[in-house]
Amino acid sequence: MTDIQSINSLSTADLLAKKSGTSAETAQTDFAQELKNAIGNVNQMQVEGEKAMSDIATGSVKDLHQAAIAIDKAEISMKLMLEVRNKALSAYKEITRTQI
Amino acid sequence: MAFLNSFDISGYGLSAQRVRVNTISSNIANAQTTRTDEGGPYRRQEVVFKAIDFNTLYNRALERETSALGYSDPLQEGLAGLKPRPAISSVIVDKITRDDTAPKMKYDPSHPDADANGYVAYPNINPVVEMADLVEATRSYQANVAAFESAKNMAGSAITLLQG
Amino acid sequence: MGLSISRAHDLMNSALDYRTARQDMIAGNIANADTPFYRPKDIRFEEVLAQKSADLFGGTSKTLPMARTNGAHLDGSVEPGTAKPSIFFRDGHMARNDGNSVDLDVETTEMAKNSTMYNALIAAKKKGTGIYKSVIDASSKIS
Repeated sequence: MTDIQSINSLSTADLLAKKSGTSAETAQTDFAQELKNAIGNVNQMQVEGEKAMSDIATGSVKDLHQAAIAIDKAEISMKLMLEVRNKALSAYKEITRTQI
Repeated sequence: MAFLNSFDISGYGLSAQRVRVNTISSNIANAQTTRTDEGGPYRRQEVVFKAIDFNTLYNRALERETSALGYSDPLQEGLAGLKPRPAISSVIVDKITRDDTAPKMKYDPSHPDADANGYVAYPNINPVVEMADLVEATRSYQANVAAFESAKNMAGSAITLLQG
Repeated sequence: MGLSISRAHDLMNSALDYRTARQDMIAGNIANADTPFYRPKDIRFEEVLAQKSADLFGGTSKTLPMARTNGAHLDGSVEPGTAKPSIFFRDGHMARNDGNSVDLDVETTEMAKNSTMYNALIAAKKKGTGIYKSVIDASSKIS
């Protein structure tokens, strides 16, 4: 079940909590760094999904269900990241709209 | 429309096997027929198939784009180096031959078709052999149906790419 | 506009073409299961796809490199893009009395394998394009 849990850990709140839990010496968290890590994770899953697709194409896939899982993870992580991005953008726009 | 090739190849196979089944059924039905229109007992019929170059344009395109490995002749049948051309072939009934070997003679002077010596000429059809052939023809027919279903299934799944 | 979704998609498109050709060959073998002097034919394209995958993704294809004693010797590698699929006789057992050596069980097995991989490719392609479609759709939902 570790694979499924690793998708959950993409949400920035969890990443922040993990980071602040492991680095006990500083309470500061770098939001840009977390974002970069999250995007890197999603990118890694896309790369693995592409590799799974090319494995199916060349016929050298070991287990069809492993390839299907990899492609599924790519799709879900991408969709999740898009939704988070949309929410973040709309939150930012909301903030810029506040009257001072 | 080369993707519909597979349906036609299996279709030709189905027709050929059906002709074979019909011939075998006619043999079995006429196993005891002692008189026919052309005189003499019923002669056993047999179909001969031939592999034909099914879609010449497609085969030529395949030949241009692939390399052909010569037959490695693993069992030394004297066919080394035979090239697999044409690439895709289907089957047609080439001829229906008549078995012209001597008929079985049975001694029965009271039969209306008995000749001067009292022997009746029966067709030399062995029903057991014919039944075995019929079973094999049915199995080939079913294999062709399975090939047809598989091609239809593949085309159907490709069409789902267009939907949604 | 030359829209190429991704390199993996190009590879999958080639694989789909080859698998269609292979389906036709196996259907021809089954149709000729009773033809005298017929040997079953098949098409081999795995090496072509492996080489194309190595070209596209820059990895090494999984064949051992040829050992050379001098750097100037040819290294036995095929130029990229020159590998061709090959049609061969898939035959290993004695022909029957009429010279035909098609084994219906082998043919139906090969056909089942081929159509399973074809369906898997189509489904993977669908998922892959679905990801790109969701990216395009998501941009329209920014409020």
